[in-house]
Amino acid sequence: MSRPTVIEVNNLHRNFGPVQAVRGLSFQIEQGQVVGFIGANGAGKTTTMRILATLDLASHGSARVCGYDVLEHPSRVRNVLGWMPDSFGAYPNMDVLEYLDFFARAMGLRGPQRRKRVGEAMEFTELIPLSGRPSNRLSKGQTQRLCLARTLLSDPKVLILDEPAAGLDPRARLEFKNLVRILAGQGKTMLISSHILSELAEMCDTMLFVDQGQIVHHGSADSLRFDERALLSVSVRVAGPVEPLLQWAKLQNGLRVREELRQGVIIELEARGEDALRTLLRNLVMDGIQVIEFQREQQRLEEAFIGILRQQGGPRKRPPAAATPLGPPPSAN
Amino acid sequence: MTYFFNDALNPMLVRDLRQGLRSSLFTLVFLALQSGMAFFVIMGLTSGVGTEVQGWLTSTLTFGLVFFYILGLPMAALFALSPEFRENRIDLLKLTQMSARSLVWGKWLSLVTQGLLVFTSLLPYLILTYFFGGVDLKAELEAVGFLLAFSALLVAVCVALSCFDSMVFKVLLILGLLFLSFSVMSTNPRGYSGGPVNLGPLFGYLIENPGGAAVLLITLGLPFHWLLMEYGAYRLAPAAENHDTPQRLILFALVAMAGLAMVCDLVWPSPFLNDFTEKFFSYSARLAGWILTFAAATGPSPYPDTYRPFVRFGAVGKFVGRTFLYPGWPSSTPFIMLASAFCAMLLTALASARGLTLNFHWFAPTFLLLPAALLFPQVVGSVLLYRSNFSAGTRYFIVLTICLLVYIVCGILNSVTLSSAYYLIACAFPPVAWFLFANQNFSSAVMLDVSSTGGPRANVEDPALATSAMIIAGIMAAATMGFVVVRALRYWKHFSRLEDRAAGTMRPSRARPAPVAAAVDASVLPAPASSKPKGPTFRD
Repeated sequence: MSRPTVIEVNNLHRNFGPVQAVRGLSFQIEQGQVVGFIGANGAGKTTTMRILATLDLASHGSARVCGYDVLEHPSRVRNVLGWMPDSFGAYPNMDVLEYLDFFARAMGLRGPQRRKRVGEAMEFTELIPLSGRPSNRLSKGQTQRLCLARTLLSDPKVLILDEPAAGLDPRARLEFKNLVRILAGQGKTMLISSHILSELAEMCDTMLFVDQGQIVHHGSADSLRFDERALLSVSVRVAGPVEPLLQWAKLQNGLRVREELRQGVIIELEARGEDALRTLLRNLVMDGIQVIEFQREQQRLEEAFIGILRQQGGPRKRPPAAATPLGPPPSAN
Repeated sequence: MTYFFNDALNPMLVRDLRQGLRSSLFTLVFLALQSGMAFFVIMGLTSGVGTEVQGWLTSTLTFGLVFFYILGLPMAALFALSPEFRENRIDLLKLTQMSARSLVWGKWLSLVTQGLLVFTSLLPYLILTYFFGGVDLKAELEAVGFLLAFSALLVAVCVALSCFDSMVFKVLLILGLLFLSFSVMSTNPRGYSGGPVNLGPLFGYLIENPGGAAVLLITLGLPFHWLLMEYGAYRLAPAAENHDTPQRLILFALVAMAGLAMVCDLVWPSPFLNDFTEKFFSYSARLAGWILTFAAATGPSPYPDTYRPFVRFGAVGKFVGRTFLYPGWPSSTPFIMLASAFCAMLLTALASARGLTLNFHWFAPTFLLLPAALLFPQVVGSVLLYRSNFSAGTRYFIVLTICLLVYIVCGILNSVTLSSAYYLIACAFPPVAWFLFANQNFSSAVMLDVSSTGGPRANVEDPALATSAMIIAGIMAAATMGFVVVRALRYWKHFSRLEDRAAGTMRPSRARPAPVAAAVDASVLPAPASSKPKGPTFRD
């Protein structure tokens, strides 16, 4: 039985004057999924997330969170959604506990329930030892944890995290990744944006690749690494000198040596599919090459992403918004 | 301390009190005032009763208080909300259950509370000054009351301004408001006696007639204060909350109060009521001007939620909403006309009741040109700045500023070249034309002579020139109104769609279906709704 759809975006457009930041974006996210939202700076990630968080209005199209239309029911969407921006300023003269208490009050939590939620959020994000520290004197990692704690105060069903790991050191990033996995285990649906693919690959079930306001790929990190549309690469290691292998490769059609290794080579095949791999291995063995290792190469995620962009037609100039004549529908009144 | 504050208190108030009372600025001011007061009082008590030193000390203490409440506190308020924008915290606040109104009110309340805390701490010293002698307790209490009330009002002005991050914009806004209040709006709205009304007589009135001033402060100060808070809240949440309809209702309330004051004045004639009615008419006209400008400047809301209260009243609610009360300029066209008509009727009634002759030169253009003057910037903004990323309000004020510049440039050129052509150019801009005509200057170039050199002026008393000016202004006003009416009517189908969505999503009183969010937990989420019709494409 398929899980219910929690985030549904249909043909979303957002124009800023003549610039189209988002162009016909459509996707669905099921309950409990952790989805990475990947794209270069200015690809339209934050704009899309802000529309989902009811902080911005779409020029055209619709978006629903937990079945609620963001335009029709912004307050209901806010009740089920937690938003963590890429950067935010903490308040001076206010410690961590007071910061969370303020937001708990602002979220409508009262009395013991407020204290309980603040305590739970602090415990989850391991902020209890920092409760008396001024909120504007925390490290980047601590600040991100504080922001996550604030986001969790209302116990949202959906979390939208904009570049949560940006600027974190490896340890803080690992801690943050663990928190995300725990939240995913609790059944929270998460949409996490980043422009660092490897960072998201470890956190997310699936990823949305967006470029210039459009989705260019939707799938898991593995689907990108082993993209059927990309050329196959195989790492071959041999016993003894590598020259016979190089000579052999030169005589073969439909492959080329992409890179020489100390004990082997990386071969790129023009053919696609597993048949091509079987044929290559059989030919190597039959021709007497002393193969000791034969491994399909994963594409580096960044390379794969760039490859997809190239297949989509390379870097494109962002088109201007279509000129709309005067009269309804007036776009900016 | 964290859980000290009561749950019922505004979260913003709680936060700001925590922050504000710990800030070094507050501590410094508090300590300085306490030390200064203690020093002065000790000096006063040791110098003997009724001496000149004591008089000087009392004046100094009073000056210190006035300085703190009239300058210090408002200055702090001027930067109350702008850091929320600068530090990227405003989005986090918007996503809470606090409305923009409660954010702004909370900010104002916290500042006023801090001011009152300072006042309370100074109270013992003020009581001690009573023993210096020569203190009129009643007058002192009245003065302190007015000081605190006036300070609260100034804080409200500054909190509203603090919603704009740019200091340049704040200064421009202050200058613009002063210009509107003292120049454009200083057009004598009574229309039956000459001379602009400014704040000078108001202060005189405050001193000479504290009772009337108190009534004026309540009847006009409270709506004014509320308007300021609404402007601030609008800046925080331009489209999500309806800040337009309540203002329009306030205008109707002001008209009703003006009518009531006039009737009281006629039934129980007295110098007090006579004076009060004039003051009320004069200053409520300024508020009305602000409300009308806001109505003309804002764009319609794309949120169906906004239309839900009107839809509840069925066809009548929708009609009244579309015609007068929906937020945004499309409904402001008939609203402005209706408000102008109300005001005109009131003034006519007042003038005839007092046996005065209305100054037609002022009266006619003020009410005939007003809708076009207010809506012209909206028209030009929507035509010329259509592709820009500015909001409707920003576009409006850009065009209005350009009109102001046109007025100034034409005035200077007119004074320098003595050519009346610039006068005609100025009249092609309805806001400028309204300004000139409403100030009775279509037969005099005084207002065009902005350089005020007192030198020779253009001869615009020429009837032909005056007629040409009126024709040009009339044509432009008619064109503006025609354009606005056509555009506003075309908005009706968008209103219709939004009303349908509002009606379709209205919460039934009973047997409410389980919300989808609850179903998510139970994993029985119903299939997503089929693709909805295209959402409204306008935004603010």
